[in-house]
Amino acid sequence: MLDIANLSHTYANGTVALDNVSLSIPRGMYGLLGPNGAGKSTLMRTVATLQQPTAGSIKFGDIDVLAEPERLRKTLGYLPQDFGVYPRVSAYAMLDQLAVLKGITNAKDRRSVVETLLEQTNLWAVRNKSIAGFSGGMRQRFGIAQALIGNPELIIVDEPTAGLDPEERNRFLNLLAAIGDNVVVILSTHIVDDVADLCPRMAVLANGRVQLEGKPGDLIAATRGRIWRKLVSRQDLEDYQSRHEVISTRLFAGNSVIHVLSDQRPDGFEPVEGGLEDVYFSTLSTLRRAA
Amino acid sequence: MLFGITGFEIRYQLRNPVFWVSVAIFFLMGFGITASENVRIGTPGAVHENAPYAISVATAVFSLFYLFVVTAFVANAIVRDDTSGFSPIIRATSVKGRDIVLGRFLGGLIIAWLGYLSIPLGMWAGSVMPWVDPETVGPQNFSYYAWPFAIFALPNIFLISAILFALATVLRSMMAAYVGAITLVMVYLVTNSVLGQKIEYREVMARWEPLGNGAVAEATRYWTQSEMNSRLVDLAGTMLFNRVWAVLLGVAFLCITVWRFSMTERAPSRRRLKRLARQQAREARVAAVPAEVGGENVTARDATPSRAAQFMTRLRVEVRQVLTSPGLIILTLLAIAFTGLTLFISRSTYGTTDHPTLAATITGVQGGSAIFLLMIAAFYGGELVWRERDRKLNELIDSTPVPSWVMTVPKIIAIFLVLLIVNLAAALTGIVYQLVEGARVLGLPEYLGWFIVPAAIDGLLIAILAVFVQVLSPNKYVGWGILFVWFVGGIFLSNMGYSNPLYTYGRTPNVPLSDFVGAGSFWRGAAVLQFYWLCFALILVAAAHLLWPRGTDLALRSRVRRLRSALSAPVLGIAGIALAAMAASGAYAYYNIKVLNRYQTSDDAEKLQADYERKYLRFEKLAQPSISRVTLNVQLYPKQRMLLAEGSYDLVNKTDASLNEIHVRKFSQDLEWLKLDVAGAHLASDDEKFGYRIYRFDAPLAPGAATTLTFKSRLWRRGFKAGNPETDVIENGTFANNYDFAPVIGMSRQNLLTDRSKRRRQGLPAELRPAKLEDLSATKRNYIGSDWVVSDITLTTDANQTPIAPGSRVSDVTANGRRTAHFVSGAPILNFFSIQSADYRVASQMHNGIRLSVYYHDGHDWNVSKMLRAMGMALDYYRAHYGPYQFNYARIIEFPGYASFAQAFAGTMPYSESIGFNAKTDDPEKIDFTTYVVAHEMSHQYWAHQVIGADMQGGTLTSETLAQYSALMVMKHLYGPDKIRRFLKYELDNYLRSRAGEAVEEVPLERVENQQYIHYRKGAVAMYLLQERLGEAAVDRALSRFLARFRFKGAPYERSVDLVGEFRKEAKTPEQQQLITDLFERITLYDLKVKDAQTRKDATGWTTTLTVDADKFYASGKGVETKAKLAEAIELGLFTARPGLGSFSRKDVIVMGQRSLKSGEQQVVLHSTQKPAFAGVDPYNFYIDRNSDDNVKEVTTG
Repeated sequence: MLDIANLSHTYANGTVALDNVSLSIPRGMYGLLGPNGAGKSTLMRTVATLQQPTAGSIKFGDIDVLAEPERLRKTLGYLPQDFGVYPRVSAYAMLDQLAVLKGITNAKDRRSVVETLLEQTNLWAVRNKSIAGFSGGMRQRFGIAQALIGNPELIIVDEPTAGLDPEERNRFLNLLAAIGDNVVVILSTHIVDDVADLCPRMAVLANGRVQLEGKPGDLIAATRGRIWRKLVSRQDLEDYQSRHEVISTRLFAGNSVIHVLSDQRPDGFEPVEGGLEDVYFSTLSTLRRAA
Repeated sequence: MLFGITGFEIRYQLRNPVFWVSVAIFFLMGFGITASENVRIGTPGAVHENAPYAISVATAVFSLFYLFVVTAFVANAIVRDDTSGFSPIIRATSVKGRDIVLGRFLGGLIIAWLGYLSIPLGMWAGSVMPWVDPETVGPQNFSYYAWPFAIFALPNIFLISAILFALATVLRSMMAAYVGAITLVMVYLVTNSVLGQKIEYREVMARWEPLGNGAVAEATRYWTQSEMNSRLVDLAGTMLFNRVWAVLLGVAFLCITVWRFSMTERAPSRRRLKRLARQQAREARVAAVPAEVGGENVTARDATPSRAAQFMTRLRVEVRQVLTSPGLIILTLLAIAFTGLTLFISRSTYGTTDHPTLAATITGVQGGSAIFLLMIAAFYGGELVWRERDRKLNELIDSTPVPSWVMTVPKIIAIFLVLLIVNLAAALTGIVYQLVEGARVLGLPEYLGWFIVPAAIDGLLIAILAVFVQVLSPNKYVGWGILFVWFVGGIFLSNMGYSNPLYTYGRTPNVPLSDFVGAGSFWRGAAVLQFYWLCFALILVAAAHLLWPRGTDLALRSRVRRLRSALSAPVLGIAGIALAAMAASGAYAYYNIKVLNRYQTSDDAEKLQADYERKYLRFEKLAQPSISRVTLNVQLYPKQRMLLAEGSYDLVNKTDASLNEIHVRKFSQDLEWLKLDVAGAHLASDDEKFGYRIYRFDAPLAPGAATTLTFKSRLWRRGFKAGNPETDVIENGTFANNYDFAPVIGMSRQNLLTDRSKRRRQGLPAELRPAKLEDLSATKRNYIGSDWVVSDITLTTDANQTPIAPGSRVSDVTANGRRTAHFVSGAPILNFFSIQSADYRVASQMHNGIRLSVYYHDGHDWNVSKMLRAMGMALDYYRAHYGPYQFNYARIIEFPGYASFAQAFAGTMPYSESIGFNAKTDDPEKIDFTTYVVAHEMSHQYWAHQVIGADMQGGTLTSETLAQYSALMVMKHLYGPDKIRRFLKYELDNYLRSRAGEAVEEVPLERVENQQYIHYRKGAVAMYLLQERLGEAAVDRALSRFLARFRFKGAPYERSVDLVGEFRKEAKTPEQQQLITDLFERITLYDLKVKDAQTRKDATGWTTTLTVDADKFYASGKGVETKAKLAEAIELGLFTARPGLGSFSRKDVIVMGQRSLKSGEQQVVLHSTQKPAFAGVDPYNFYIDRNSDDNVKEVTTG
C-alpha cells in the first residue's frame, strides 16, 4: 500500500538522516523500531509531506506523495513526536478546528466526529479544558484523536508512548489497536514492547538504514537457538562483555542477567527463548561492532 | 558563587538575540542623531553633533526607552527558571537565594550597561560618516562620550534594572514586568510633561527626577553655544544630589528584591482554592453531558468548496488569538495615551490651548497614533507568522490538506483588525478631546474619511509587508530587524531627498487638512498611490502564499524549489492582475508627479538653488527701474485650482543714471508667462530653467523716464505632487501673494539657499550676511525688496466666494456665477501683497471712521469679536501716539491652517486658521495672544507699511521690534503694567534659549540681521525697559518724529541708527544715554537675584531685608562675557503673590520702588504695612537677566 523506494535525505548541515531506505508497508499496523537519532522522525515527516527527501520516491496507493502532497494530506492522519497547542484553547475547540482543516466542513458531521473521537479517547469529560493543562497521556490521546479525524487511510504515529506511565501507555496502545486493519498505520517508536504488542509487521531503522524487516514472529524464529542467558555478578560483567557478543544486560536482584548471541552454547550459559527485544538488540549490537 | 552566577548570566545573555537586536536598535538611534542633520533631541542648531552637551542629553533621554530592553535582561533573569521549569533543580542546589538574586542582577546589569554602549558608539560612528558636514562636528574627545556614560548611563541603568528586577520578583511574570515597564514610562512622561512645564516645579524636578533629564536641563539652562560644545556637565550641586538619589533609589529597590525573593513555591491563596473548587464543580457538570457519537462513519472529503469554511475557521482562530492576547490591551492603551498626550499637551506659541478645529484634531490624532500602527503591525506580523512554529503546532496543521493562503490571509486580516481597533481607539481619543475642549461639531464622517480609512489602508500595507518579511526571515527577530531597517531606511532616504512615493513602499503624497476644504483634492493623490501600493502588496501576499513556511524543511532554497509545483493558475492570475493594475496606476501617478508637476530630489533642488545664486546673485545690486503703479486683473477658478493674471506695472527710473536692462523674474517654477512685454525694450535673454529674463532697452532709460511692463500669466495646480501639495490656489481658501503670479523686478536674496551646511556642501560661502550698518550704498534698497506703489486690483472668483485684495473696495459685482471685486489703494503700499478668496463669513464694524472687518470660516468665530476689539484699540493707540493711519479700512482674513502665522500686508492681515482663530485666549492665567498678535500686525501698518528699513544690518529693527513694542503698549493699557511680566518673561526666556543656538554671531539690536530672537524677543524686552526709564511719552515722541521723517519715503531708506538717534534726543541723563548704548549698541546681560528675604514685624508694620546679588556683563558675538560695572536704579518689590503666575495683578503689589544697585552682594531694606509673601528684584523682568527665575523669592519670617 505504502511503497518507499530508495529514499535518502541529507540535512543542510551534512547529517545523513536517511540512506537509501526502501520499505513496502501493507495495510495494518506497522512498527518502525529504532534508537533515538536513527532517522525515524525524518522518515515519518517525509511520508507526512512535511519535508522533501534528497532522493527517492514514496507512493501511497496511486498517490505519488512527493509530487502530489495535497492528495496524500486528504487521507492522512499524523501524530507528530512533539506537538503544542494554542494557549487558551480547549480540546473541543482545537479538535473542531482541525476537523475543518481536514475538510469536514459540514457542522453536523463535524460535531459527531469531534464528539465521537473525544468519547473514544476518553477526553469527553475534559473537553472544555485547555489542552495546555493536559497530562502527557491526555495530550497523546488528544493527538491520536486528531489523527483519526475523518477516517484517514494512512496514519503515522511518531514516538507516541515516550514518557507515558505504564497505565497511560496501555490505554494508548489499546486505542491504536482499535483502529482496524484496513488502513496503514505506521508506529514509530524506540520501545520494543510497543511493536511486540501491536504490530504484525515491522522494520528496524538505525543509522538511516533499514536493518531488518519482516514479521516479528519470523524475526524471533531466526534467532531461535542462538540466544543464551546467564546470571553474572556485576564485577564480572566487563569480562563477559569482552569475551562474548553481549546483546543486552539487565539488573536482577543486584546481579546482571546477560544475553549473548552465539551459534554455540557458551560455557555456563543456559538457552533462552528469544524475544523481539533480543532481535532488536542483537541488530543494534551487530551494528555497533561493525562501526 | 556569586561571580559564577554573574558570569553565567553574562554568557547566557550574550547569546540572547534580544541583546543583539537591542544593541542594533540603539546603535542606529545614536547613529541617526549624529549622522542626520534633521534629527536632534533638544540641542540648538549650532551645537556640534558630537558636542558633550548633545551626548549628555542623548545618553540621559534614551535611558528611559532602554527600560524596555532592560526588562528583557533582568526580568528574564528572575522569571526564567519558573517559565522554563528549571527552578526545582536550582532550588534543590545549595546556592543561597541571595547569591542567585544578586548574581543574576549583577549579570543582567552588566549586560544592560554593555548594551547601552551602543548609544555612544552609534553617536561616534554617526559623527565620522563622510556625508556629515565637518562644520557640525567638533573634536572627538573620549571624555565627551565617557563622562555622560559614567554619570547618566551607569546610575540610570542601575536604577531601572533594580526597579524592574523588583517588579519581576514580586509579580513573577514577564508580561507583568512589561506592563510595569510601560506604566513606568507613561507615568514618567506624563509627570514630566505636566510638571516639567511649570517653572515653580523646575527645581524640584531637577532634584528628584531620577533619570537626570531635569538636572541636565537645570545645570545647562543658560549655557552658551561654546560651553555646550566643550564643557562637561559638572557633577556637583543639584546634579550630584540627583545622581546620588538615583543610586540610592536603585539600592532600595534591590533590597526589596533580595527581601522578597523566595526560593519556595507559593502556596495557593484562599481565593484561589475557592476558585479551584468552583472550577471542579463546573467540570463535573460538563462531564455528565453525553457525547454525540456516530462520527466514526464520517470520512473527510476535503474539496475546493471547503475552502471558505476553512478560511473562516482560521480567521476566527487568528482573530480570537489576537483579541485575547495580553499585548493588545497594552498597545491600545499606549496608543490612546500617546494620542491623548499629543492632543492635550500640545500647546500653541504662547502656551495656550486651542479650540479643537476638526482639521487640527484629526491631524493630531494621525500624528499621535502613526508610530503605534507601525509598531503594532510589525509586532503582530512576527507573532502571528511564527505562532504555529513557536507553539509547535506547525506539524499538525501543515499536514492537513489546506492551501497556504488559508493560513496566510487570515493572519493579515487579523493584524489589520488590530490596527483598525487601535485606529478606532485613537479616533475615540480625538472625539473625547473634542468633547472636553468643547467642540461644536464632532465630524464623524470626517474621522472616517480623513483618518480611519486612509490610516487603515496604511496599516494594511504595513501588515502585509510585516507578514511577507516574516515569511522569508529565518526567525522573528531577524524579521523585526528587517522591518526596522525598512522604517529607518525610509527616513534616511527621505532625508537624502529620495522620497518619491513611486519607489518608497507605502509612501503617499501628503494630505494636509483644513476646515476650509477638508482633505480638498489632495486625497486623490494619496488614494492613487495607496491603490498602487495595495496592488504591490497583493503580489507580496501571493508570494507569501507561495513561500509559506510549511513543513519542517524551511530553508529558503527548498521553499523556492517547491514554488514551481505550487504555482497555480489562480495565483498567477491574481498576481498578474495586480501587476497590471499596479503598472496602470503607477503610470497615472508618474504622469501626475513627473509630467504635470515637477519632482526633484532635495539634492537636485539644492543644486538648482546654488546654481541660481552663482549665476544671478551678481545682479543683486544692479540698478533697476522702480514700480510706481500696479494694475492687476486676476481671474481665479477655485474648482480648477487655476489663477489667470493680467496686469501692468508703471516703471520709472528713479536712479540718477540711464538704465540699459530690466531683469524680470518669476518666483514659482510652475508659473507660465502667457505674455510678458516691456515697452521700449526687447527680450535679450530668457533663462527658462531659472525663470530669469533680461530685457534690453532699445534706447537706455534716462533718469526720470518711464515705461510700462505688461504681462499675462497662469498658475495652474494640476494633478498631484510627490510630497507636499501646493496649497496656495485651492477649492476654498485661496491665499496667494503677488510674487506667486506676477513678475518680480531685479535680483534679490529671496529664494536662495539659507541652510549653512547645504550652502557649504554646494561650495557657496556658509552665509550671506547683509550689508554693514555703515555701508550707505545699501540704503538704495529696502529689505522687503519692493517699492512704494499705488495699486488697482480686480479680483474675480466663483460667486459663492468672497474675493479680497488690498485697497478700498470700489465695486463688487456678481454676474454669471462669478463675483468680481475692484480694489484701489488710497495710499502708497509696498508691492508685496496677497489676494484671498474663500466662502467667508464677515464681521464688520465702523470704528472712528475706519471699517474694521474680520473674514472667517463658518464656525471659527471664537475670537472674531476679540479681534475686532483689538484692531480698534490698537488703531486708537497708534493714531493717538504715532500718527495718521493711511487707509479707511483694516481687514483680518483667515486662511487655511497649512501654515501657522499672521502676516501684515497693506490694510489686510491674513491670519492662520491654526493660530489665533482657534486659540483659547480667554483664560486670565494665560497670555491673550490673539490681541497681542492683532496689535502686532496692526502696528505693521505703521512699522513696515509707512516706514521701511534699508537692506542692511538693523533693517528689521524699525519693523519687527517696533511692532513688538507697540503691541506690548496696547497690552499694557489693556491689562495694566503689573500683568505685563509674563509677556516679558516669555520673550526673555525665548531670547536666552535661542542665543545659545546662534550659528554665526549674535549682534547688538541695532545691527540685527533678521534674527527673530533678536528683533522680536530681545527687542520687546529692550524697548519695554527703554520706555520704563525714559517714559512712554518720550518714546512715543521719538517714534512719531521718526515716522514723520520717513513716511512713504523711497531710497535712501531709513537705518536703525536713525531711530536710535531719535531716542537719544529724548534721553536726558547720562544714565539714560548709557542705557541706550547698552540696549541697542551692545549685548548686555544682567544677573539679578534675591538670595534671601527675611521679614519681621515691628511697631510701624513689616521690615523686610533682601539680600540681593547683582551683576552686569557685556557679551561678544560668540557669547564670551566680560564683567561690567553695575550702577543702576532697579525695581524692588514686595508682593502677596508671585508676579507673573496665575492671576497676579495690581492688588498683589505691596511695595514697589527703585533702589540703586551695584555689582556684587548687597542688602536692601523695605518697609510695608502688610506682611509680604514674596520679595523680588526686577520682579517684572525688565532687564535681560541670565536667570530670571531667581528674581523673586518667598519671604521667611525672622
